[in-house]
Amino acid sequence: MLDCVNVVKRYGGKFAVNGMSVAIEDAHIYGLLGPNGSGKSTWMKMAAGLIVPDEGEMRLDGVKISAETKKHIAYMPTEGYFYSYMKIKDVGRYYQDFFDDFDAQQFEKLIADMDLEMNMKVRNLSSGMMAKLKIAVTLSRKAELYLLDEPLNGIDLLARDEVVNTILTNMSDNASVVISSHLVEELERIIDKAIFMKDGQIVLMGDVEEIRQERGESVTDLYRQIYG
Amino acid sequence: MLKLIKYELIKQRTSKVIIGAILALLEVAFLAGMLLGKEEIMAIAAGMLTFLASVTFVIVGLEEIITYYHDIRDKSGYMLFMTPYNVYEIMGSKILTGFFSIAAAAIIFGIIGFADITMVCAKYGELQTLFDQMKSLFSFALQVNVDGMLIVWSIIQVVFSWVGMVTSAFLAITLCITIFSGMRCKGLISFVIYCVLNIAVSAVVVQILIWADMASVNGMMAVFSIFDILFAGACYVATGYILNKELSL
Repeated sequence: MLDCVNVVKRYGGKFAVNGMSVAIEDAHIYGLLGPNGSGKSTWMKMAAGLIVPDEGEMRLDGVKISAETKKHIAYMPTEGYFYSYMKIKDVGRYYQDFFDDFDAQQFEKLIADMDLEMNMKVRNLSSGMMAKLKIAVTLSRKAELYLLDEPLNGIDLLARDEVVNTILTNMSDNASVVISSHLVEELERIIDKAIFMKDGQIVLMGDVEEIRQERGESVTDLYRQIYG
Repeated sequence: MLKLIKYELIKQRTSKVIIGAILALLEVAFLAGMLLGKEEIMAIAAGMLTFLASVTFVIVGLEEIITYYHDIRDKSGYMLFMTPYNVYEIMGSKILTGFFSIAAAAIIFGIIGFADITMVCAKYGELQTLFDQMKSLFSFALQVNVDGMLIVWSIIQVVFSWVGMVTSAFLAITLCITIFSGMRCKGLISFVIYCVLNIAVSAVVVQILIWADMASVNGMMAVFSIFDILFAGACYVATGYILNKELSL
């Protein structure tokens, strides 16, 4: 589905992504793991078309990352990004205007499920509320590929289960999801493939179950081993 | 692209609402002064309306530029650049939004100005005589025939010049955020490039007009307008090209 071949992104003399090649297949949940500065967010933004790579190529179903692929990729950034003048209902309306795959009814349902209200102003939302709004609006799209950058950030322990469940039950059939997070223990129970990144490169990638069986350790333990 | 224009207008509505409110207030004051025979109020309101007209061009232009700066630098820019449009469509929507805004402002102020002058001349016959004498003076001293066509061409030239200045500002900001991003004085360099581009274009057009020995003022306005639009077009293409290669939000 998403093919990434030798992608490089430099900022000054530093490589944010350094020759990364990966193929994201249909109907899998990938965990994109690594510490701050490993290149996870940069890679996601390149796939979302927000950063142009210096070298290499990324294609979704054979189409180069462009305006066309944005119709099929739902990206959720780490940060809050909505226009400050907006209310939650305006965010929904904005997505409905621009994305044909946006389901307004699902958005309303997710907002209600997350104890948010349509008339709430974006600039008055707490970090936890903002995180929930980002999840709700992203998962209301019936995309082919979801890129969720630190979706559990700012969400309390009790709400994390709700968010994880929301991700699992609301993504479209046959879609793929790439989730980046520091909360490896939380991710491990939902992902079926893991990609470990370090200094802009993939250091390990594989099926989570195979990793557990071959190495006899969990993804969390492997994370500590690689980055410890 | 209409959806992009819609949200550009929403993002920039604050200044337009404020200007509209002040315009309405001043016009009410002007009309009240005229109806009540309070010439001082009329004069003050008329002066402030003229001032507001010139300030509007600056404010609308600044808001266009500042909005683009935030879109390309802040996280809220994700909202724009995640939409399924290429950078040329996104930049095109911004330029068209600005053009429609400033053209609308020019038309509204033009209509109000024309209406107010007509009413004043109808009420004070001596003012009409004064305007006629001023027209004759322009015609004799400067060989300029102040008629409707001249006013229309002047407005067109101001609007196109404005589009050129805003589009070149987009290019300067783009250079600052992308190609010059690692440099120390990137803001200053970009500003210098902006000034040089605008001055150079004006200098080139003036030279062409001198060489062509054009006598018609309307013709000169038309030439300036054409070059302003070509300049804006070149800046638009350059900005899109750079964003296509260097966009990094």
